[in-house]
Amino acid sequence: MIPGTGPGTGPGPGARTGTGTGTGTGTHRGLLVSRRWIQAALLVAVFGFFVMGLLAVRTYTAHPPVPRLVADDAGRPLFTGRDVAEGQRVFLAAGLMQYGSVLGHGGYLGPDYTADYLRRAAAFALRAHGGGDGAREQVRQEFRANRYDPRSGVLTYTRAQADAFAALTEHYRAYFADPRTDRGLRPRAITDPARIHRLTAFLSWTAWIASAERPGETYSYTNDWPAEPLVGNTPTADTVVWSVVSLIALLAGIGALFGAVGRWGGHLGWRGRQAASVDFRSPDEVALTPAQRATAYFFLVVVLLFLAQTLLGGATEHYRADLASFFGLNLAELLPFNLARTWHLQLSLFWVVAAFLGAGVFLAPLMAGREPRGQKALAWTLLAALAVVACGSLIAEGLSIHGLVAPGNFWGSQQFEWLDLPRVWQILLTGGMTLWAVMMWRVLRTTLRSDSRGNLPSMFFLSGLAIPGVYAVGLLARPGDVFTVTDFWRFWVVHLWVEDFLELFTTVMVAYMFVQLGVVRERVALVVVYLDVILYSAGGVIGTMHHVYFSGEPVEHLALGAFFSAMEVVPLTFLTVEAWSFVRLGARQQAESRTPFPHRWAVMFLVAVGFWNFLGAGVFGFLINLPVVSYYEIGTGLTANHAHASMMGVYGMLAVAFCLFALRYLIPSSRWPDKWAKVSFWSLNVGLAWMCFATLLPLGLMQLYEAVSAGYFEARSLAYLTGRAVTMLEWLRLPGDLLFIVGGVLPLCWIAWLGVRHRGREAAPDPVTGATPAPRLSDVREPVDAS
Amino acid sequence: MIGPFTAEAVLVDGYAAGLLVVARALDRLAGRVARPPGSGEESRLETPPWPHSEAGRFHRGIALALVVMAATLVIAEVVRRPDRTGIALAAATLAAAAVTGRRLAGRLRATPAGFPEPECQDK
Ligand code: HEM
Ligand SMILES: [Fe+2]
Repeated sequence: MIPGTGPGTGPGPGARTGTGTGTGTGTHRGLLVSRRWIQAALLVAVFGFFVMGLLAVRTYTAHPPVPRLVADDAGRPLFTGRDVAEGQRVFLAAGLMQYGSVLGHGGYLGPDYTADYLRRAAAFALRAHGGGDGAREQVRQEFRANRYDPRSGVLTYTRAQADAFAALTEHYRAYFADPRTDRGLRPRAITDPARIHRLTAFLSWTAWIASAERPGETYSYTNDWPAEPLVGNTPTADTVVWSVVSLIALLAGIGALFGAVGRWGGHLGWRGRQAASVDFRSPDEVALTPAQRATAYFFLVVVLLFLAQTLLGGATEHYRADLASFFGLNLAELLPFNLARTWHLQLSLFWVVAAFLGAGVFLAPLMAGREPRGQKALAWTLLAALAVVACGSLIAEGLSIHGLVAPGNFWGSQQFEWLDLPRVWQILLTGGMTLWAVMMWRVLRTTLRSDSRGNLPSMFFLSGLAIPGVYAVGLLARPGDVFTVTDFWRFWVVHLWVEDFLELFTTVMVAYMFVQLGVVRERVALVVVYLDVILYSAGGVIGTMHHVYFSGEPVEHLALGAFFSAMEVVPLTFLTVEAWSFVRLGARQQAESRTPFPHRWAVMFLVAVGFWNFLGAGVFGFLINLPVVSYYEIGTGLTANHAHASMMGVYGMLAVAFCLFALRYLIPSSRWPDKWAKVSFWSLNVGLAWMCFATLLPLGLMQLYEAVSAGYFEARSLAYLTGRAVTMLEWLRLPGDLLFIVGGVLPLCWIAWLGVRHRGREAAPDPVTGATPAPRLSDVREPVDAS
Repeated sequence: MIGPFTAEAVLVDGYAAGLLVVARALDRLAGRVARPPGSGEESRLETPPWPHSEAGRFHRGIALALVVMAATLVIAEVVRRPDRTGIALAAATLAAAAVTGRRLAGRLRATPAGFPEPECQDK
């Protein structure tokens, strides 16, 4: 037991103090909760990943074919399968997936090139057949008929389709050779005729899978996406039916949840420590370990990356509000829209991840009670590695978009949206996160050995390990592979990271923060963690498929994705209920502690996380989650609305909470700028709410209306996006954005700078082992009859 | 045209009115958040203990921002199309925003953060 925790600390695990799991007792600690929790969590996770395994197999066996050769009806070759793969590389390397999209996935300023090709080709064919109703029917039949011969691997285009291909090659040649920048692209973005040919081949293939019927079915490989009347694409029966089923699943899930909360609610959730009193240690009394002190530099890097990310976001937004000029400057020469957006997205991942890693380095010694020698050097290595990866990959993306690197180059070009960084950097980043996992292991080794595998330290370590693990899955998406397959693996990273493992890791970290502060019992925290694993995995794992309804996957991906992702909303409802009641935890301790609670703003940021989890992820996520909504909505403003409210609202606010938690101990109390933490809290939250409610939500609703009434092609057109009503909405977000950056991010920079300047007080290492004892954050006084 | 109004004006004012409704709902919610669950007569206390009090303030603050936003949207629309019926509609919405805003601002002021500031610290 930790000495000095007062009299009467009772025997048995239930009575352990909350201030660290402690080591050095030499005894093995048993599982703090019922074995049932582990069994249930394992069952749910194993089931989820078993189904994901099946879906992976189906992805490989049922993806749309890439023909060996595409020829016209006279057998003359138009393009080959290699051209399609190469064309995809060209598309990615030029950063076009951060400008427009294919199959609905990518940026939202440019067109969806699948819908674009399909509309233009079908319109061309219609004209070629002389217009009129007969011609319409003929076009519809020509585009829907599947003329791919699996034995020879040859796909035959009709004369009209072949002529359309030639015409569109010319169209895209002129489009990408444009010397002006008024579309937000680099001038003369792609000029090499061979590349244009391949690029057009790739786009033509995506349009083919969007219109040709899957063998044996009456809908196309993409479940008849996009909506295109010329080729008879409308929502399919599956799209509608599974939307209804998923709605029922949501309602039933929420009903079951509230039933369960009513029945067992007393046992769930964060409950404050009863019948004990806690004295929070003043930050000035907390002496830090060397690596904890080094995290000051992590948090400085975090806020600088955050600042850069928001400034690039401002530039990205400026393109949407005023495409042609940047206050008189021709910005697109140097920083075209797609480069600004690439950096904006990559940095959003980098700063959040850096904050999580830094917080892990800070928290681990608290869990273990000590920090081994050499941890500081590793922390610096990790930070240096992250800095190199961040700078190196951003530069590589710039070079690639400026056409200075060959498409698909291992060192210099990948550019899938969200997995933009070239493969070598992707591997290095995975390596960096693995180094971090090793660091966690070094600190926690003894604790893990002397504790049950089902207790918090193991949960922390395992969920931490999952972060590089899931990220590494992204390596399975290679720029030249079939797009459907790459999209499947890409969303393992994009979705499983944020909607499953990060949520889980977060819960463990927050649980630990409160356990360390002595306000929640470890046992209670552990129950919450298990509940989280179960609830998030139940919907979140298979729910990944809500991203690939229309990516060329067979229909079971759509069905299962719709059903299970609806369940994802259930824990969000619950966790909000729970987050609001976890807020009760501080109350008692406040009243009883003789010292002030040091984490006012970290806790307020966690309150904000609860709010945005419900609104941004739950409400705005579900808004676009039904297949029939997604069918019209994918790649439009409502996705941006959801993405900002959830990414920034949940993970951004959380990262800030972690930073402030650690910085509180790095900055002496007399220097702690409480006022600036407050300004930042209000500015970030009001700024984000402004962004969503003043611009993104109304814009998204208008665009959805346009997509259903006029057509998806129209809703994604530049003409629509630069219309006057849309432009007005885009400008309306300016005050919110300014508030966010100036009032929200700059104060954080100042606080992080103070952290680096002071870096806390260093604890003395043990002269024998060289390890440094970790500080305690509070003193818990247990009464005699605690249980 | 919807009656005497342009469709655009109706949409903007309708959306603004929607924001006001959301703001009111958030304000109600803030009242619930700011009360620790299971605290019977305690809930009638003037100031609920931190952090309930400040979570309530957070929700009320966001609610007030929504009201300001509603007013901004309506004004921007009037500036864009200053026709008579549009102005009348905007005036009505702005009046509603003013009433809601006043009420919410009053309630925000009446919701102290309630963070127990220790006497020993100088802040
Ligand atoms: C904190 C949790 C969440 C985060 C951080 C998050 C983040 C994101 C982001 C960044 C995107 C854009 C992806 C892209 O560009 O391709 C996205 C898309 C999407 N999200 Fe979430 N999300 C969360 C939770 C949810 C939940 C709970 C749901 C629904 C139940 C949901 C449904 C969707 C759907 C359907 C899309 C696809 C939209 C499209 O491709 O156009 N998300 N999410
Ligand atoms: Fe997702």
